[in-house]
Amino acid sequence: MDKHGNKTVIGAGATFTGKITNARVIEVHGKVNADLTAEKVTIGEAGHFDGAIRADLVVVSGHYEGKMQAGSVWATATASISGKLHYETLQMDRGAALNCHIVYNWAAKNAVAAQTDKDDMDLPLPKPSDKAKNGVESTSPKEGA
Amino acid sequence: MSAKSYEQMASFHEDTTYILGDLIMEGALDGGDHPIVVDGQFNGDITATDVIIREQGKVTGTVKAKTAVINGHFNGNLICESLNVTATGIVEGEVQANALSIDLGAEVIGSISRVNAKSK
Repeated sequence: MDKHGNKTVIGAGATFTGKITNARVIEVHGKVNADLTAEKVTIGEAGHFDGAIRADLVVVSGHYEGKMQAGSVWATATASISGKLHYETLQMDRGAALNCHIVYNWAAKNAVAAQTDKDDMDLPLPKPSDKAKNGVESTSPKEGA
Repeated sequence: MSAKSYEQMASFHEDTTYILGDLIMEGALDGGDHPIVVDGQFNGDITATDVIIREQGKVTGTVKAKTAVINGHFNGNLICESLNVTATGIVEGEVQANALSIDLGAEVIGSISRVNAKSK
């Protein structure tokens, strides 16, 4: 029906505050303050996203702040990310600004399935032995959100 | 709104906000000076220059706009300069509009009045 398919877009200049559920592909060029579960999230250069994201793929070209849990994360040259980032694969372009906790988490997929309703984004992180291997013990203590 | 501007709006713009598919949004959405097209479900407040609720769109809450086109389902308070409810449109609630057109087949249930102060 639409040339751009079923992609939801928050246009430049638009501001949204609230909750987004049942999303598949979403593109943010405006300001969004929300918690979001989706398949693919794109934050455009002008976009600001504040809140939790769980997604298979997140492409960040704008500003992100919050707890992100994603299969693949691509931070482009104009990206600026703060908060917490759980990922399975991460690509970061030269110029991207990451100012956050970054946790490689291969258990993310199971965790997403198990926890979709849980507010707290913190993952049931892998067994201690795995943690030790990965050196990411420090993430849990301060879960301020 | 002229048919032409509707066509323009229907084509993709980065500035335009589209709520499409099965997604459900709850909260407050301000489109600024740009249009908002709803083809999904939205609960809450929408403010924008132009608001289009497409056939699959369902909005519950308050909508403030200059022009509003309802092809889908709206329930709540609607305040706009000009409103067009097309043949597939369903509007329930309180409508305030200065220019109003309701196509044959549309369902409008509720009260209709004029806007006193010019609202966005």
